[in-house]
Amino acid sequence: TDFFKTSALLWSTPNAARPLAHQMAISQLFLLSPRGDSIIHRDYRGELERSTTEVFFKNVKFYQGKHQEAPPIFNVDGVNYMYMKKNGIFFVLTSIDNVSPSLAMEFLLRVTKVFKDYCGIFSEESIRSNFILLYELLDEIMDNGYIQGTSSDTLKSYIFNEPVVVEKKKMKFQLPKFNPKTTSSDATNKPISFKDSKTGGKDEIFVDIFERISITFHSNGNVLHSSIDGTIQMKSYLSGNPELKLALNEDLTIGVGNKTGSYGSVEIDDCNFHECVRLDEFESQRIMSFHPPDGEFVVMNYRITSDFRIPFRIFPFFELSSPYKVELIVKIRADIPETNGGTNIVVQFPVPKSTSSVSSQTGIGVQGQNTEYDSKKQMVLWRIKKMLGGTEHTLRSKIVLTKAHTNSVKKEIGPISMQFEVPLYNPSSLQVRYLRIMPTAPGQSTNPYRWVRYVTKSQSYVCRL
Amino acid sequence: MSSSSSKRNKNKKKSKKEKKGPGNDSRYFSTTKKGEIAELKSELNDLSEEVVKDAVKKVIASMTVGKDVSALFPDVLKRMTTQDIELKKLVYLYIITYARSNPKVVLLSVNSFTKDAKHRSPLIRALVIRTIGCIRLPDVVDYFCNPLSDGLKDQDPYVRKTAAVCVAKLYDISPEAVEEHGFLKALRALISDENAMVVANAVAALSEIAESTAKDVFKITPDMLNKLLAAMNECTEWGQVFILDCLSKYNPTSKQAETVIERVVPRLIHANSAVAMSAVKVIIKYLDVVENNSMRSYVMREKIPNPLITILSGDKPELQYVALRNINIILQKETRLLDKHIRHFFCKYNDPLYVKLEKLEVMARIANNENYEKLLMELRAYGSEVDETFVRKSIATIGRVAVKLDTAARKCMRVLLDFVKSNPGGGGEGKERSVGYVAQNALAVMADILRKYPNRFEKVVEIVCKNGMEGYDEEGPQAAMIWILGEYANIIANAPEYLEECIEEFHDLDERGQLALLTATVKLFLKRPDDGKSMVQGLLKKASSVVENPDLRDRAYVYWRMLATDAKVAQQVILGDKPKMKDDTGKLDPSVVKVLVSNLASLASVYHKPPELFIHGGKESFEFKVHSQRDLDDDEDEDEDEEEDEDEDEDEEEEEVKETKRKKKSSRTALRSPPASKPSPKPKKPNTIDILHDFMGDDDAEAVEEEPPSDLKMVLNSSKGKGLEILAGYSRRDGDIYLDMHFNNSSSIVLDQFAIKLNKNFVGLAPASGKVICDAVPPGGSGRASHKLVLKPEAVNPDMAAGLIQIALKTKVGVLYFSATLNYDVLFTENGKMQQAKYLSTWKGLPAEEADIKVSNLKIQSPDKIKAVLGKANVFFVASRRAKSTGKTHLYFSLNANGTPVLIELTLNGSSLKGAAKSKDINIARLALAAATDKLR
Repeated sequence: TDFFKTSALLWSTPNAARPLAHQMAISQLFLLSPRGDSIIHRDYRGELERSTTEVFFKNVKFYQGKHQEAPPIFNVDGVNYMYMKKNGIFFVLTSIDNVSPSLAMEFLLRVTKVFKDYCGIFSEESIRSNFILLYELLDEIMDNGYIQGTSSDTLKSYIFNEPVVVEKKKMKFQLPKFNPKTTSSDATNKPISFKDSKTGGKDEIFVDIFERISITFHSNGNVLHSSIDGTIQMKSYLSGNPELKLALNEDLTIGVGNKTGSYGSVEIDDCNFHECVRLDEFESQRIMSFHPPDGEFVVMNYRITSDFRIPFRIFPFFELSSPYKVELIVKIRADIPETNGGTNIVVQFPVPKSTSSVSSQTGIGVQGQNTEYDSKKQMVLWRIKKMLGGTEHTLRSKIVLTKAHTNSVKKEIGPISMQFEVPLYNPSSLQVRYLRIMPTAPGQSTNPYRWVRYVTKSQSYVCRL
Repeated sequence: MSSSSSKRNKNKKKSKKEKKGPGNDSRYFSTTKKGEIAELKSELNDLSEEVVKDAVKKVIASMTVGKDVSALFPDVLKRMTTQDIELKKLVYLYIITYARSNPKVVLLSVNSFTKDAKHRSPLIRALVIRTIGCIRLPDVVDYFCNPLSDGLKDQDPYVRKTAAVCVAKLYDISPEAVEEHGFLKALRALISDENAMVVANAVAALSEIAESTAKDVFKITPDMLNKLLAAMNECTEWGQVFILDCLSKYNPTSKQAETVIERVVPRLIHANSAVAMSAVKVIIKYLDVVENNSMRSYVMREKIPNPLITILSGDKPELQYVALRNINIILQKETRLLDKHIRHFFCKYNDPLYVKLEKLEVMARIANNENYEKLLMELRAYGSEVDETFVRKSIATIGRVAVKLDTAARKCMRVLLDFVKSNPGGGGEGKERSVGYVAQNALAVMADILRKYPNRFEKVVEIVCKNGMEGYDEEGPQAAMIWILGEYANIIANAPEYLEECIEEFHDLDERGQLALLTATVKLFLKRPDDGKSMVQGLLKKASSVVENPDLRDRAYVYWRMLATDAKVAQQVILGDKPKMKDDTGKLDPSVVKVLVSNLASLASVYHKPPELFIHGGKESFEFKVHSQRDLDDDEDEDEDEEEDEDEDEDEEEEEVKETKRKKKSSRTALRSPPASKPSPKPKKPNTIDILHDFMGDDDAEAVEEEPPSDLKMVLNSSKGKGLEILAGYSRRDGDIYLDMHFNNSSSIVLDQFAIKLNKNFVGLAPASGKVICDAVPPGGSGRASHKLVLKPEAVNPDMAAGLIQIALKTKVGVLYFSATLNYDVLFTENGKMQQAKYLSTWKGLPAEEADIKVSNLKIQSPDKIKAVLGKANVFFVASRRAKSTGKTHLYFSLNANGTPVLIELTLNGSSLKGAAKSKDINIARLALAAATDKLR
C-alpha cells in the first residue's frame, strides 16, 4: 500500500520523523461545527495536513467501536486527536507527540473560557462574528505548539480587536425569581471589560458556589451513597487588581476521618485550588487570599461524602393490578427549607420492552407539571416547573404490557432518575463568611457590587427499584 | 474621494441590513460576487484606515474559507507601513496565514519586516519575529538572523519569549544558521532570565532542538534540577506541567528524590488536573528510589489517592477518562492503592459510556475480600440499566470478580443466577421465545466460574440447565451452555436430549459452538457411554466429512482416533484436570507496565501502549514486518489444545483478550533490544562486497572496506538522520537491481534490524523484502547493505518525478526519510542486444519522434572505450559507421529498458557527442539516452 499517502503526515516536512521523547507540542487547533465545517483552524507547526479535520470528523461521527460515543482521545495514522464538545461545537487539538492528555483537555477547557470571556457567550454565531479577534487570541495563546498563556487577564494587553456581542436567544419562559436582589444569571454573559477599566462598566464581582449532588436511593427510600462535588467559581470585573480575601466556615474540616469538627460542621473529603490562591491563613482561619485574574476562574474544587441534608427524596411504589398491567407510583418530597424551591425538575424512568402504552396522572388540580411517554426510548418523563421546600408531589403511571409480567418486571422498570436545580441553596452548608476587597491605594474605599450565589444541581440522582 | 465615500455608505447600509452592528465579522463570510476582488482592491487603497481595516478583515475571511485572494497580496502589503497598530496587526495576521500556504510570495515583504523589527512597540517587534518564523523557507534565513538576534536580547520579555520559540523554528529550517549565529548559547542564557515565561519557552525550544539532534544541547544536571524547582513556583500552570515532565526524565538519588517529592506534593492540589497528573507521575517515579520506607508508604497512602479521586469528581468526563486510564496503570504497579475508595468508582447515571466502561475496569482491579460485597450490589443494579454495552460489561465484571476472589464466587454466582431467573424465555414464537440477553450473558459468565471452581456449584447447574438450550440464540452463551452440558453430563439427566437437539442444528451454530459441541458430545460418551454412543459416532462423522473448517475436522479426527485406540487414555486426556484459569483481562505484561508507569500523564497512558507504537515512526502507523515477531507468534500458538473451548465468553471479551495478546506481543517485540555486544545473525547474502567491488572496477580492496564507495551519494546527513548518515546508490548485478547503502553511525546505540519501504515511484521499484540484511553498525562505526529491489506494477506512480525514489528506513533511532535519485541504467536488462537487421527494421517501425541530447567535453572519447563502458551498463553495440564527408563516427546501440527496447545513435565529433534515441515511449527513450550518455561524461 501507498503508506506515504495513507498517513496525514506531510512527506515534505524535514522534521516529519521525530523521535519518541516526551514533547509537548500541539500541531493544530480547530473548531468544527456540528456538521463538520471548519469554523476556526489554526496550524501551529505546519507538520500536518489540513485534511485532519475530515479524518477527525469521520472518526467521531461514525465511531464503530465498543463505545458509542468516541472517546475523547484517539489516534489515527500516527496523529493524535483530542477533543471536547461545547455547545455542539467540536474543539479539537492534534499532535504527533506523546503529549500530556490532561494538559490538552485542560487547555481546551481554558480556550473555551477565554473565548467566552472575550465574546460574552459561546455559540457558533458569536464565534463567526468574532473570528478575527479569535485568531488574534489563538496566536497569543500558543506559539509553535507551546502554550503561552490562557489567562484572559494577561491576554488583553496584546489584543486589539473589539468583541461583537451576539445576543443570546431569549428563553421561552423566564425562570421564577426567588429573590429580587439577585442579578439575572445573564449578567455573566458579557465580555470582560478589557481596554480601559476606568471608563469601563460597573465594578462588580460574582462568586458562585455550585454544588452538584449525586445520590443513589434504595427502593425503600434509604440512601445507598451520596456525594457533593462543589466548586467555588468567580468572575471578576473589578478595576485595578485588588487583593481579595474569601473566608469560608471556620469550622470547616478537611480529610476523611479528621473528625475534629463539632456536630454540624462542614466536612470536606478533599479539595484543590487555583494557582493564584494563597493559603497562608487557610489552615488556621479558612481564609483564601488572592488577586483575581479577569474573567471566569475556579477558585476551589471540593468534594464531600459525609452526611448532608438530602434535598429531594424519591419514594416508589408498585401495584401489580393485573397480569398485563403494572402501576408505578412515584412520590417526590422536597426536603429543603420552605423559603427555597427546586426548579426545572425532571423525573424519568424506563419501562419494560413489552410495554404497549403508558398513561400517567399527576395530582388533581396541580399546575406547572406535565407528563410524557416517549415510546421510542420507552421512557416516562415527568416535568415539574417549580417545587417549594416541604411540599411533595405524586405521579401515577399505568403501564400496559403485551405479555404477562413476571416477578422480574420491577427490574425492567427503572432506575428512576431525577434532575433539578435549587437556587440560593447548598446542602453542604459551606458558606462564604465574607469577601473582603482590600483597597489598592491607601485611603481609597472601594465598594464594588459583590454577588454571591449558591446553586445546587443534580448530577447523578437515581432511585433504584 | 467621492467613490470611496459612497462605498463606505454602502458598507453601512449592508451592515444595517444584517442588524448586527458595524463590527460583526460574520458578514465578511458573505458570498463572493463577481468583481469582489476589484472592490476589495479599491477598498484596500482607500484613504480611510477604517475602510482598509474592514477590507483586510474581508480578505482574511475569504482566505480562511479557502478562496484565492492572492491577487490582493501587494495591496495588503502596502499597508504594512501604517502607524495604526490595529491595522498593522491585521496585516500581519494576513501575512502569517499566508506564509503557511504560500511562503514564496511573502518574501516580497521581507524589507518591511526589517523596518518593523525596530518598531517602538514590543508588540510589533514580537509580531515580526513570530511571523518570519512561520515562513519555512531556507531563503529567508538571512533575513531571519538579525531581527532574531536582536529579539533574544530585547528589553521586553514579550519579545524575548517570542524570540526563544523562534530559534526552534529556525533550527527546523537551518540548523547551520542557528549554530553559526550562536543562538543556542543565547537560548541557554535565557534559562536564567528573570521572566518565567521566557525561561519556559527557552526550555521548550532547547528540548525540541535536543530531540532533533543527537547532541546534548539540553540535559538536566543536579544544578539545573534546583533551578527548575525554583522556577516551578513562579511559572504559570502550563509551565509547571512542563517542568514536572522535565523532572520525570531525571534519575535522582534517594536524597534528591526526597527533596523533590516534598516540593512536588503541594502541586497535587492544583485545580488544573494536568499539573496534578504530572505531579503524580513525578512522585511515583521518584518514590521508587526513595530509601525511607515510611515516607514511601505515607506519600502513597495519604497523598496520591485523594487528588486522583478529586479529578474523577469533576464534571468533565474527558478529564475523568484520562484519570481512569492512568489509575488503571498505577493499580497494576500499586495494587492496593485504592482499596478503600471503591465507591468513588461507582458509575454515575449520567456518566458517558466511555467513562462507565473504564470505571468497571478499575473496579474489577480494586475488588478485594473487604469491598466485594458493596461492588456486587452495584454491579447487580447495573444489570437493569438501559445501555446494552454497559450491562454486558457489568455482567462480565461479576465474572472477573468471582474468578479473582475465591470468597466472592458464591455471591457472584447468586447474582448471576438471579439474572438468569429473572430473564427467562417467553413461551411465544420466534424472537419472543428467546431468553433475555442479560440471562444469556450471565450464563456465559457462569460457565467461567464453573470452570474455575469445578464441582462446587452442582445445584446451580441443575437449575440453569432445566430447559437446555431452549431460547439461547447468542453465540457465546450457546457455546457456554453446550460446555456445561458436556462437563456436567453426569448430573444433568436430560443432557443427551439437549445435546441431540444441538447436533440437529449443528450447521446453525458458530464455530465456537461447533467445537464445544464436539467436545461436549465426546464427554457425554465417556461419562454415559450408553447414551452417547450413537450421537458421538454421528457427530464425528459429520464433523470429519461434511465440515470444511479444518480446525473442526482436525479435532474430530483426533477424538476419533483417541476413542478408537484406547478409551481409557481418551478419558484421562479429555476428562483430565484443566489448567487453572485466572483473570487477566486488560492485564499488561510487567515490562509494559513499567514503561507505562514512566509514561503516566502522557498519551501512552491513555492508549495503554508504549509510545513507540503510536508516535509517528511506530509500528502501527507504518506496518513494518519484523521477523522476531514471527517467532513470538509461533510460541503463542502452542498452547492451544483442550483449552480452546474455553473461549466461550461474549464476543467483546474475546476481542479484548486477543487485543491484549496482540498488545503483549507487539510491545514485547518493541521492547526487546538485543545487547549491544551480540552481533546479529550472519546474513545469507551473496558476497556483496566483492561483486560491488568488481562492478566498480576499483582495485583498492582495503579502501572499499573503510571508505564509502565513491558512487554512493550522501542522501541523509547525520543531524537529520538522528546520528545516522546514509549514502546511497543503485546498481545492477546478475539481472537484479540493488539499493546500495553505506551507513555511518554517530549515534550512541548499536544499529541493526533495519526495515525499508519505498514510496510508489515512476518506475515501480519496490524492495524485495521489508527487512534489510545488514551487520550491526556499532556507534562510531560504519556498515553497508545492499538491498534487492524488484519492479512491481502496483508500485508504479506515473505522477512522480522520473528519478525520484522516496525511501523510508526504519532503524533503532526511528524511521528516517530520504530520497535517492535513481540512475535509470539499472533498469537496462542483460538481453538488450539486437541484431543489425532487426535493428534497422525496428528503427523504421518506431514513431518518428526522437529524443536527442548533446554532450561536450566527453571524458571517454574513443569509440572502443565507449563501447566497453556502455557494454558494462547493458547498452549493447550494434554497428558503427564513419561518415567520410564529415569525419564523424556514428555508433549504434540497443538496449532494453525493463522490457521496452530503446535504440540509440551516437554521433561522435571529437570531444563532443550528439545522441538520438527512439523507443515506442518517448519518455523512456529520453531517460535511457540521458542515462547512457551520463556514463561518458
